[in-house]
Amino acid sequence: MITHRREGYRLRHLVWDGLRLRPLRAFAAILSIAVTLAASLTLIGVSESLETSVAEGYAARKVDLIVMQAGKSNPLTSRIDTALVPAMRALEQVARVQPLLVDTLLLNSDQSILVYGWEPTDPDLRLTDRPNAPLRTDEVLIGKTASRVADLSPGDSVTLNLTEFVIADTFEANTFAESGTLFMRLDALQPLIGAENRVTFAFLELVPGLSAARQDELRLEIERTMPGTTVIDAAEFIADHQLAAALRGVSRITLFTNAFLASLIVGTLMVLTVSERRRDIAILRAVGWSSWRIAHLILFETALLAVAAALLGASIGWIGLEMALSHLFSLGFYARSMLTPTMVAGAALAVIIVALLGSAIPVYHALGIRVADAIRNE
Amino acid sequence: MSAPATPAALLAMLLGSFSAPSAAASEMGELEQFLSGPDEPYRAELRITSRPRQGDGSVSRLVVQRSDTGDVRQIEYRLTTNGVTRHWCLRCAAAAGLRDCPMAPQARSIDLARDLPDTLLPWEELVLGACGGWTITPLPSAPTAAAPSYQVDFRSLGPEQGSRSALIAVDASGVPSSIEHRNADGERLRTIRLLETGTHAGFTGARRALIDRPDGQVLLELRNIQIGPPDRNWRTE
Repeated sequence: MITHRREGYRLRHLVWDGLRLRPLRAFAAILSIAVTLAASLTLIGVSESLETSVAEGYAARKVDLIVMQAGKSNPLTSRIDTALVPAMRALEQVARVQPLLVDTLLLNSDQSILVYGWEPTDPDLRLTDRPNAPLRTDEVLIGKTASRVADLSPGDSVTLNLTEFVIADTFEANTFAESGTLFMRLDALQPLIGAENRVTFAFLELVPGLSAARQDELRLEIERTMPGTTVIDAAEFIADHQLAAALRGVSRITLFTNAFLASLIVGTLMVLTVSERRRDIAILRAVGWSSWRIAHLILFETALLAVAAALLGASIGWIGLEMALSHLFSLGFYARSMLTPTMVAGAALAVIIVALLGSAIPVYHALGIRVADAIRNE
Repeated sequence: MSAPATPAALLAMLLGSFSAPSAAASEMGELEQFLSGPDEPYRAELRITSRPRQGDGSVSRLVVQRSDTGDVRQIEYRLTTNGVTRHWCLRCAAAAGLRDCPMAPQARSIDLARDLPDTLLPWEELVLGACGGWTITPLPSAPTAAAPSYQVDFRSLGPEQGSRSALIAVDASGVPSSIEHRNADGERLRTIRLLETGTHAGFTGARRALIDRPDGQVLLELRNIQIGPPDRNWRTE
């Protein structure tokens, strides 16, 4: 036991000496790995937060299925006939139908804004100061983010596609997309954009307890009896959400690139370290250190660097995510951070594992050092 | 500077640059590219929102389909307002000028001196870009100006249409930001502000333009564009 403790002590000292003698290299390694972790955490955090925000928004509306025009790659260009809505309401598996018309309009002659048109009785159009009176056709509601970004408040007049409206109230949206939009009555938006008797989507809430098989049957029945439509599962629709999907793709690519980079950085720096310490390693081999102990020395040094980098990177990543979400919020995208301490700890652990994997080459390099050659070359 | 074979106007700007720049285009850079009309057949859908100073406004859907056979260019317009659809067809060629399509007897004749029915959009905004010609002259700009401006003199399309010129201001990247049309006497007829540019089907152009006229405003929005051979069934949709 005493021998082991002394050997452990020596190993730690050797590692510490290695780091102390090359502080700039150690700093560069820690900073590089920390930056790759921070970038990955920020991007993945933003992507996850936005996607979850969309999912929560649909869940809050109890949207199970979405009916839209078939063959439209951009869902916002979908148009279906409002005459289909009563037919959907007549379906016994359907508890509620919310028709919605969406379009991008010109706000005050100089900016674009997404506008949602809901039926006048829709709860989304409820006013806080007159809950029992419906929104008028010359009134709109503004999302809180849109209100702040465009500097518009209740009582202000706005022009939308050259027609004047009054902002009646603000609304608190629960998705990043909706907080930057305007809500208005469907029957006001339709003539404004020349889409009389048309809506973009019909959101279907199904009766509770409907099995997956019955849902599939319902989808097929709607598509068969209402030609030109397609029915999408809300989860499927969210997964296809353009912005969230694009961010998800970018964040995954960044994750793999950064993992590779971190591994490469660690591998390169440790190969350099091993090269400079050939003589030390040769002496250790000469005094009887086993291959495993030599490998242990390199892995231990790598792990120390990786732990320091993980702590630094996780902190920067967390702060970076909060700043990114705050910036997105100022631009009109509402999303709350979905990162938890467990997720951050998991990412930090992954960085340590990636760094240790990166030390495979230096370990191989170290084990290939021949005692006689190393000492002779000195 | 002589005009390229496919000249300019608002529709060309809405559709953007479609072709590799000609020699003239390379001289005038981004502006020339932006003004150049498409070389390939296309089908575009526009929304026209008209708000006169007095009276009711309107929202129309205009579908434009262009196809070329040799030197002859055929353009069909389908305008729908309040559920009523009207159809026009014209052909233009360098030698023969502007004329109606012989194979489209149901189509109405285009009156260049007027606006599209139920809108405040002048016909010449659509036709000049497809069948006209132009000469561009860079204007001397103040040393402090962020970007230069140009004068564009349009070739007249017919006896009823007097000469037209426009002052075009471009932004720092060379993309037009506003166009002011003037008549032969130099009086301002209308000002077009290009509000939003973007890429459609791989081509960069304006997506949204606002026209200010003395008698009202018109908002033009490019809703969709498809590049490719003409769709023979487009009128039945």
